[in-house]
Amino acid sequence: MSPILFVVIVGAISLLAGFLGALLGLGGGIIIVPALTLLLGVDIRLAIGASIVSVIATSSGAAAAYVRDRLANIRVAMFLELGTTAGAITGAVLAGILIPRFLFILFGLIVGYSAFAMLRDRRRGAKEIEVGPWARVLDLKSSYFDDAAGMHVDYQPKRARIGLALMYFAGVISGLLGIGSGALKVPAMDLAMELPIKVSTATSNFMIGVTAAASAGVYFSRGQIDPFIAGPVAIGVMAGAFIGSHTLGRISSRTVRFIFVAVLTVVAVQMLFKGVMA
Amino acid sequence: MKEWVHTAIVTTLRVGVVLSISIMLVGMAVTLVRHPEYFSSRPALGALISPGAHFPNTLLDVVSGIRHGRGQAVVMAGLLVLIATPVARVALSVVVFVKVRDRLYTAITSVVLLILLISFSIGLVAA
Repeated sequence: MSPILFVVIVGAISLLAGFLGALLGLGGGIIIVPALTLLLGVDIRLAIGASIVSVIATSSGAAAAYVRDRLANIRVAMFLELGTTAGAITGAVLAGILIPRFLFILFGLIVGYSAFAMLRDRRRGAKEIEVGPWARVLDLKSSYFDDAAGMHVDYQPKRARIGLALMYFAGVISGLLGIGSGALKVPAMDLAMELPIKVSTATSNFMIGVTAAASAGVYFSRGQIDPFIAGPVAIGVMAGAFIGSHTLGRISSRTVRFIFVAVLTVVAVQMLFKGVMA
Repeated sequence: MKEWVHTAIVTTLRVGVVLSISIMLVGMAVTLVRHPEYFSSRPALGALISPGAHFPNTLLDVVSGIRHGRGQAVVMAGLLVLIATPVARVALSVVVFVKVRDRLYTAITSVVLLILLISFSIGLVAA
């Protein structure tokens, strides 16, 4: 394969990864890493460096549209970033101590459970939870216009404290395993804080860039960010994420939830496989 | 007032994205002009994506690479702009929340920025 063909193929795969990542609030690493290593024979260390870049590219490429359309709730995001960034540092510090193998199995099980739990749409009004003092003081309430449903959706986030705790945990996992962990952030916002699914994925998308940027410096200094690979990944992903961010509003919440659960199942299997085979 | 917060964030992200993509495209064009063999040569790829691939991994390398007109150093500069964008977004949020006198969110975003800067320095030391 000539270098120029490589760049074109990487760009095309990244376009898809960015599109899906923007819709689902994930970083696209689940597509980028296997595609680069298995399909194109890229060294795994360099593939991981490129996937960190892909997380930031997904986030930045889509976030402008999500913030403008109010799909991303920036107050929820900024509050929860306290947890994800603090968790990421903890994870980086613990990285040498804990055994990755068990973490992959643990992560796989949690993600698998989340997929199962999210499969069932919340029964609205089944058990009305009171808005806690934190959610009220933080002024998290918001609304967005749902293009697919053709109406305004008002929502009140709940259980802010539990959400923060879960984000800390998600941050620890990203710090330890070097992944974006949108796969944990979205279920936490969906199941605990009861945000609409589109708000959960868009807000996760908004946040993952910050967590990834925190660790990108390390990958750069270690020489894991190869511009010849990460460059086309970044451009392809940003273009895909831009398209994705203009698509999310127009597809139904049910569809978003369905695709998310399907992808989550794949992530769970990947992680369990890594843990068992390591 | 709240509208302003959103506009500021959207603008930061757009500037970061457009700037980084432009720089990377320039870098790629420079690379192809200087290495016409990349259009045809197969063995050339191996040296670019294998563990022994050579590319800048310090700011000084990037700067000196750009001075020598190396396309890949320019692409790397674009990637660094991309990496800096979320950090700039958090830093700008602090400023915006100070301006709109939202004390709670000024505190929250300041702590996030602080944690980010700490993790950056830990990362650079650890590596």
